[in-house]
Amino acid sequence: MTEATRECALYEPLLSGALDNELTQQQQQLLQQHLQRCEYCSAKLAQLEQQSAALRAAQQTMPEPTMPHLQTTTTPVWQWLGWLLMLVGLLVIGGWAAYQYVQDASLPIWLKLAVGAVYLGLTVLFIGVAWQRKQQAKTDRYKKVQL
Amino acid sequence: MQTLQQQRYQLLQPHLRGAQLLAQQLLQCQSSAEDCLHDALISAFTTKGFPETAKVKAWFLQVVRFRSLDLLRQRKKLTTLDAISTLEEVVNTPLPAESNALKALSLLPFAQSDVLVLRELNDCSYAEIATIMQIPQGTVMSRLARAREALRLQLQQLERGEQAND
Ligand SMILES: [Zn+2]
Repeated sequence: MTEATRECALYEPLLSGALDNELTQQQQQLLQQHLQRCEYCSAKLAQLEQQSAALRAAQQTMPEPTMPHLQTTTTPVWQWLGWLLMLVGLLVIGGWAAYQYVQDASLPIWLKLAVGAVYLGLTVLFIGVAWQRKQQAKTDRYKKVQL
Repeated sequence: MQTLQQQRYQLLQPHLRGAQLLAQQLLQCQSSAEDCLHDALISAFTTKGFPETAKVKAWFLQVVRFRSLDLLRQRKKLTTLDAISTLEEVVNTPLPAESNALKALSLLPFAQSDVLVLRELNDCSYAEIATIMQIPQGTVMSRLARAREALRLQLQQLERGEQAND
């Protein structure tokens, strides 16, 4: 390579830009004019081109990264339907039983209240556990991907 | 029927190799790079802020880059990137690469290999590089020029070393 002239440093970024096709038309013209006069920069451009091609070629030979095995976790529709039917049935039966129970005049009021409290407590506990589970599932970021 | 996850995976798939090279270059370790890529993929699958198709590449590379930098900071307990680039142990562990060009790349200081990986191994435009690195677009060209010059010198040095060994 011949010696660099003092103005060559100014053209260094443009050489890079030319390689990447990112020069404005004006910049292109400036660079072309310099390249016609300057052997040093012309040779350098060729060298940089080669270097860039070598990197890109090397990239192609790198192995494809091993990817996590994707697993779908969407619940099928029939499962939702099953749960829904069961819930509706339970509500109807439970409602009817509760109504009969309240109407039954042979039982003292304190027993009715006590039994009601037991059922209410069970329901609260059940909902509490379900809610906790749901929160856990939300924060577990690895649930959806098997690594 | 395609799940959201499968759709996103298809969009990301062409950029995975480049993204892994980026992480590898930053972390200088293949297995941490793989972990980093997997983490980035998981957040890509679950995020609500997934970008439109044209911006997927820049977005994903940015996620991978930030994650790598976080890991580096944790590892080195450093707060600034400049401090990382001055650490010789980070800079001077070449990856096992068959190509001289990649070997030379891995010997470059962090700040220079970063921009080169985005341009040469991920084919990012200057606008994309500016977005990913969060720098003004006008500075991308000169950064790349400096990095390329550094790579050129590093390659010459490697070749000289090989000749000396022969
Ligand atoms: Zn010149």
